[in-house]
Amino acid sequence: MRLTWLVSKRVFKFFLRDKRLIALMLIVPVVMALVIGYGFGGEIKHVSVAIVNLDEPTAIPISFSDKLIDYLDDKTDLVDVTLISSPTLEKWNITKQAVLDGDYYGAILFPEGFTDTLADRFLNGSMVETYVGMFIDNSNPQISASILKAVSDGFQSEFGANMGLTINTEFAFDEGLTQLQYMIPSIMPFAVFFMSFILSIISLINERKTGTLDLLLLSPYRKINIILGYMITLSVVGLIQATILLLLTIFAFNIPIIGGVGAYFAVYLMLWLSGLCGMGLGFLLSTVAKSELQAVQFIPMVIFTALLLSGILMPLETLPVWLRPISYIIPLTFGAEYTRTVMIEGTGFLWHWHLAPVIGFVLLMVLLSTLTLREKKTL
Amino acid sequence: MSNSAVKLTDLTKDFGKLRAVDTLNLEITEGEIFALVGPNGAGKTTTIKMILGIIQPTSGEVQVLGWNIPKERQKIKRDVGYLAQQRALYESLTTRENIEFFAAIKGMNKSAIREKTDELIQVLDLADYEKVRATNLSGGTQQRVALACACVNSPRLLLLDEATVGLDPVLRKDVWDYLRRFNKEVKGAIIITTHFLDEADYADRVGFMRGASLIALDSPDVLKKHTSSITMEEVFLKLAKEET
Repeated sequence: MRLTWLVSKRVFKFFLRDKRLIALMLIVPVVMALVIGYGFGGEIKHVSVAIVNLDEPTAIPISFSDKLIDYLDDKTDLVDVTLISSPTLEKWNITKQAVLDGDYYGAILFPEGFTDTLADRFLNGSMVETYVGMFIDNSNPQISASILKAVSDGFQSEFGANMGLTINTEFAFDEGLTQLQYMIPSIMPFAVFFMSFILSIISLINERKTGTLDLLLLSPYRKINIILGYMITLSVVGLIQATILLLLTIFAFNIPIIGGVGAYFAVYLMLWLSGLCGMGLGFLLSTVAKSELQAVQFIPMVIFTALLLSGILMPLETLPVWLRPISYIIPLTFGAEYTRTVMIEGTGFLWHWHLAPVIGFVLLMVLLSTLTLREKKTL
Repeated sequence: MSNSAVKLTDLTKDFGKLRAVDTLNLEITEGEIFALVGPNGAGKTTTIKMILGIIQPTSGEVQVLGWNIPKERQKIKRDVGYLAQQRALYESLTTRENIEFFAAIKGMNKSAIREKTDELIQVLDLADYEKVRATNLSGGTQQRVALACACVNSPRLLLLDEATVGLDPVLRKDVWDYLRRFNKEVKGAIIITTHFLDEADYADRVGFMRGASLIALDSPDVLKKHTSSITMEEVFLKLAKEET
């Protein structure tokens, strides 16, 4: 009993005398709770949808299409509506292309005579049917579900039950993907990032602890060589991880990589860069942390932030608007989007601007690590 | 007239309210083995780290091989060897790999690395452990491997922080014999800190540190004569008594 008390007191003092550790212990859980809470808790909202409305009612003074548009615009926050001006059938085709280009997640078409046909059915018992046309980006199953839900909620709320019209839904891509198939391409860069981050932060802390870092810094060579040395090794590790992940993706999850050799090159490139991002961040944070215990606190913070705010698990649309700027600092936001684009849309290799922030992040980390890497100043 | 290897002028270091080194004045010339002796907490390691430029002095000046430290620190890196108190080795590397690694980061060429590593393994009696990973070595063996790593580039200034800690008296004597031999070859300066007072006898000159200050500085024989002592331990006890 006495020993228990002594040990407990000693450990307590150990914590209390490390101010940075106390700060970390207080801050990290809050950050994690916030990140997980907001990341997972949200529904997909504010999905951007374009509407082409060719309906011009003549028979009755109200417009059913306008009523529905009002609903989508004001009464639900699942979608954000953009009305295409001076609509024509040609504009509809242009809007569909805009969905394919990623400008909108979906497009809705109200055909000519939409209200009149419906009115004819209600008032005169006509058997003529009309439809609502939808064109949806199905590369993200959660988003397409949100759009469909918003529209069916709208009909339900504005007109009540079945009113005899069909919803012609067209999907932008051949087959809808399962949630897993959608997520895997973006989880790959995360996995490589994660491993490189852990490896670099732990190794560096270890070098610091055993004193070998001091000896490395006494070498006449430049500091950046230490970072580059780590980079090479972790690149090899990253490429091995990338290969394992790709095999898993192709053979276990049945996600074929379309787009040929270029696509493989693109995926490898991004996975490699993601690993370097993780390594650089690990290096930098290892210079901030003074002990292993402090470094370990950084791990969940970085990992959860990267996982939840980068659109890997949940699309960015689910995040509260104020959190989104953080997403655009995280290189994985771009990395995940890039691998997803390459693998799902089959673009082959592409010099997408998404590469720039990722490469920029790596360079920034190397620079900052070079500046901050030094011997411990205490005994 | 020998060249000055290390020159410390009014060197002082405070860690917060604690004064670790207090207005230290000391000159060590090339060719001598200098022992910085004193109990734990006397300021020996802090002094060594200031000589290396790892710790910035609060005030005072450090000159190493004619260069201003820490400002011109880059200039001395090729010419210094350092054995840290904590036996800095890569646990996953073998004895030979560790020595070769630390030789290589000092910029030695391949054949020199090989030759020097072979020699050190012989001289420091490490042949049995050549292919054993550092993590599986005993503390005393690790200490000798770390010493080999520090000496491998034949530095003009060798700084050894508690090089003999954890060694039995026979091995300690062996280490000192090696240092003598090393010094004859390289003709540089060796600064070795130790809290074993008897080891001070092996050095050319001894600086006794106590409570952040240097309380005596001379050759072992002169110090013994002055205090009419037989052992260095006696010298220290008498000096410490005078001090208080």
